[in-house]
Amino acid sequence: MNRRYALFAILPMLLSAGDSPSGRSARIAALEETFLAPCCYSEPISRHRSEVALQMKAEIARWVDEGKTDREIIDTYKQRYGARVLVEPEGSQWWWMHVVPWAVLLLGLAFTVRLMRRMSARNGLPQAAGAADIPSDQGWDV
Amino acid sequence: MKRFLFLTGLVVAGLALGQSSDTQAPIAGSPKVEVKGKIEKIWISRGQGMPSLQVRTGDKTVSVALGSMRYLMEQDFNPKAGDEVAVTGYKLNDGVVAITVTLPATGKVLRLRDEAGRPVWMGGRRGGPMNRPPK
Repeated sequence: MNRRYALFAILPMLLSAGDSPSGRSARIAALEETFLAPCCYSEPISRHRSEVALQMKAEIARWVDEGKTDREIIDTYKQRYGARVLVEPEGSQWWWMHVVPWAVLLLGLAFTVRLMRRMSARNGLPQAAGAADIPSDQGWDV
Repeated sequence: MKRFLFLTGLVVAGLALGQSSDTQAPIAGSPKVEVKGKIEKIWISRGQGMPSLQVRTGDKTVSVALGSMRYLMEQDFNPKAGDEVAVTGYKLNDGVVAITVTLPATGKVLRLRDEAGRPVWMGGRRGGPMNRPPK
């Protein structure tokens, strides 16, 4: 019974963790890792040292304080700079990036293994009837 | 009629451009701070992004983002580690984005951003060479 009361006491704290200063910082840090600096699309804005990265960091901090959700912030930047601004692509592009290469690799491996097995099995088969015997000591004329 | 429409379009475009030049940079929404201390480290190298200073103030070190390398060279801004420095700027996370940097030893005052937070080294409507202070 006491455990249940403890859970009820902890739940609001857990739910408001995002509003705490550390929760805010963690959220801002995570969002800064979400976007590439649109000046060169080479680094997340958290690490990039450019004017546009600074301005985006300031915007993100302000939007978090204003209560914008992560989704709203992501959509705003996607609208402004295109989907390319995201470090991790969304939707079907995510599958193309993370799943398709592995699937193709596995299929290739399976195909190779099967091919090798078939080749080794064929080499181990007895010679077909009627085929001319080549004496083992007879070499090829070059 | 066509000429009228063309002229109206020109006026509207002009107004739009005029308005956008008054907009604040997002950084201007951040709180302004003042940092005084000793330069501990200088991050200035070509191709490594925006130069910055590590300023030792009391018992902590603050990172101060400056501006374009080219602009710093144009302004003959050449700080040394160990120099005293006074910075006004916008607080951004744990660091500061400089508005002005003063080196009391040489009396050099470098202005990097205008009142709206726009970088003075950027061309066009975003700050513009016309906003640049004289060397």
